[in-house]
Amino acid sequence: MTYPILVQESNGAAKEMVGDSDSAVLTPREPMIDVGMRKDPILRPHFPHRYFRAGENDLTRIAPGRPRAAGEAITVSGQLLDDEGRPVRNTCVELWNANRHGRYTHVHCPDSNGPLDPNFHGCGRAVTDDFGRYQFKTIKPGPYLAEPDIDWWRPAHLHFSIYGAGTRLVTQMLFPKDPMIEKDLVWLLVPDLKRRQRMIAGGDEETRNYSFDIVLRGPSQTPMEDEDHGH
Amino acid sequence: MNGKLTITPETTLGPFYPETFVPLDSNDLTTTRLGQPRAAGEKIWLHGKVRDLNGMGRPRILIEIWQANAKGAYRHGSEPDKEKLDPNFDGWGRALSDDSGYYEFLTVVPGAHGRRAPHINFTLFGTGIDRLQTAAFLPGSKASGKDPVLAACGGRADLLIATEDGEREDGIRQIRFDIQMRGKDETPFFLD
Repeated sequence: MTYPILVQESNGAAKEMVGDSDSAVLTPREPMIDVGMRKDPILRPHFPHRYFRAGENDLTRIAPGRPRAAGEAITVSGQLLDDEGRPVRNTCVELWNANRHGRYTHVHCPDSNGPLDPNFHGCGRAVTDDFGRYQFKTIKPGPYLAEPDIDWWRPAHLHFSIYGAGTRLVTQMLFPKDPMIEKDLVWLLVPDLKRRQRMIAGGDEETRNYSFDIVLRGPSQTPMEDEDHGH
Repeated sequence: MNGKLTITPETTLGPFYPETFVPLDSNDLTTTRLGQPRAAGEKIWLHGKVRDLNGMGRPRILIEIWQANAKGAYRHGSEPDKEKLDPNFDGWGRALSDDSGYYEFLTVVPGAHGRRAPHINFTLFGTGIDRLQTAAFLPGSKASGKDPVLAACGGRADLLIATEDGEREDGIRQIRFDIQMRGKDETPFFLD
């Protein structure tokens, strides 16, 4: 069963679409209020660097020397850019994804997603360098049936969460040439066709190296130096 | 000239955000690291419930807060008053709402930043919703005052003002800020 929901467009207009039951009870009904956030970057969080540790960007092993997780090991790398093409440096990138069967290592992920892999936690972090670049190693996730009632399958995808100075974005990466994408609700709910293409990685099966550049809205902000925390 | 790149779309957080990204102490803003001195200012518990259209508490909503320190300065590159920064206060924390939709932060009372009334910025993520922005103003803030964010919210501004909620056993004052995602008394959310 699907539910009609009102989706907020970036210009504040409301548009009716189908959604799942969570969207129907959680999506605000009132229009978003323009309080000037886009003009005042200080209103958007600066993530403190004390949360970072080096070496958290290889998801294929829980720890060095432990067995490798099952499935196809892939490399995902890319650049964080502002919308004028300038690199966004010193910014945290969180990554999480399901294992080769489509099962997340999460207490609320059901057995119907497939078996757990004891060698795969499925989450990691990286910080962008001076050129805005990041890199991860992970396992290519399997697709899974997200909502049996509406036969909604999620294609293989990686979740990204990004935050730096004045930047906050949660998005997903989809794999190139995947026929399941065309029926994916997450994909279909992005209204702008050009923006949808941003979610598809470059690269291919053969090399197992994928590239995924992420473009953030607005000019990049000057990061606050954190040296007083000795990271 | 339209030389701008196409922006990457936002998606929902989904149901499986790793709890390892939300360590237990990430809702304590009063210290930057265990064993370090405490932040300056009056400590408060900021707590409340996230409710859906049907009034049900919503678990696993990721809540991030971001605020000025006791002197009203943000740890941000754009902060004009850098000499007011507190080395023991980052002003950023995160928490996941529990099974009943309840969340809590231990923080300090923010000072006024410029002409803004003292407030704490909220970002919410969850399954079924894209990122949402709002703010909690300290009890006693006036919707009719000079704060431009409250002014922009017009007749709904009172819904952004937190309420006094007594004192906890630890002697720390509590303020309450409930978030109504949709429906009656819906929390005002901000265009971003």
